[in-house]
Amino acid sequence: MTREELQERILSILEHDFEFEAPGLTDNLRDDHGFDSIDAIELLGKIETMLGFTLSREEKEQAMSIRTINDILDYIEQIRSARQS
Amino acid sequence: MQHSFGQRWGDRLIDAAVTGAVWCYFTLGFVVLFSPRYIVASFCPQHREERFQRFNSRFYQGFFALVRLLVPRHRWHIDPQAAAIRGSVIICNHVSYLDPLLFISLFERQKTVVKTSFFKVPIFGWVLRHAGYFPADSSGRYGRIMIEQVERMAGFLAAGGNFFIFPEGTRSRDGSLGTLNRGALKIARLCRAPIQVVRLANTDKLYRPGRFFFTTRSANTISMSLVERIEPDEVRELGVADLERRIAAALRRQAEPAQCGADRPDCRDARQHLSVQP
Repeated sequence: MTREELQERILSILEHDFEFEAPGLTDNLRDDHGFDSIDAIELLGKIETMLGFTLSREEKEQAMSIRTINDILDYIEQIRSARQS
Repeated sequence: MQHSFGQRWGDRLIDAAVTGAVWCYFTLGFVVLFSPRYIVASFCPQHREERFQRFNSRFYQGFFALVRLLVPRHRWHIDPQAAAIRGSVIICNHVSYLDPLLFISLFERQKTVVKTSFFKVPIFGWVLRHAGYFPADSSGRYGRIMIEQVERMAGFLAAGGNFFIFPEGTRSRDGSLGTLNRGALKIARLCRAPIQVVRLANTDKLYRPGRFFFTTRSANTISMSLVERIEPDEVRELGVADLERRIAAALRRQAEPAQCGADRPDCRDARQHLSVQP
């Protein structure tokens, strides 16, 4: 999956499941969309389904520092490449 | 009604004496009566969380029994339907420090969100962590606790535990409802659990925000009422914003006395809790 495809899927999840309106890649998730740590944990579940594997506790903890959609995409790419290497 | 100078000072002395007795229970009572149980339970990781919650509940039952004994002018009306809630996310308005203690005393299996700084307090923080309570903040090392607790929440609720929360985050100073934090609503959606909206009134008349002493000498009725139940299907269907509006409206409504009928199995269960008093 390319970054563009990944971006499309994440935006779709954020709009449909988290009620985001017109999300921007650099929006502050918490301040602009009320996205909190509970949402982050729910999103991690959806990312696991998307990637087809379970994230470790350490990988999940890393996600707690995500601030923007770009951060989410970077996070997923980093996890994916770490698993492939 | 005008009170004489002597009567006012008499009332203050009684307030101070009651507060002192309650603080004795809080400190010595915990150390002497409860700390050995917590220590023993801490060696049994499999049942630690459940036992810590039960001990917390018993400890605060003792606390409120003492308060009721020492402060008879304050009467208590706990809606049996509220006391009978199980397996739910409970949303409540917040007016006094007593509010979370009241919930802990009523429910044997309970979790809640606690101010993160409390997790740093020796002994108290240890009890909070092992009882499975959440820190309000998920940054740094608290992120791990938050993830663990959220992931285990669905099982906890399915087993009959209650997750209660005061979504205003802080106590209301004037009784009006503040902005609601949506975290609890999201947990209910995530866990497919019902939301029960409970309204508390007049705990602030007994223990006023900003005061150290209990206010013991004025007549008062403290009440807890179940004002709304939102089923899991509705919780999933409604957006978080709609859920928040519905809950805020329910909390603002004046609580009606509980009406139990033969068609309400939860009310029948609730009658068994009529004797439940904080």
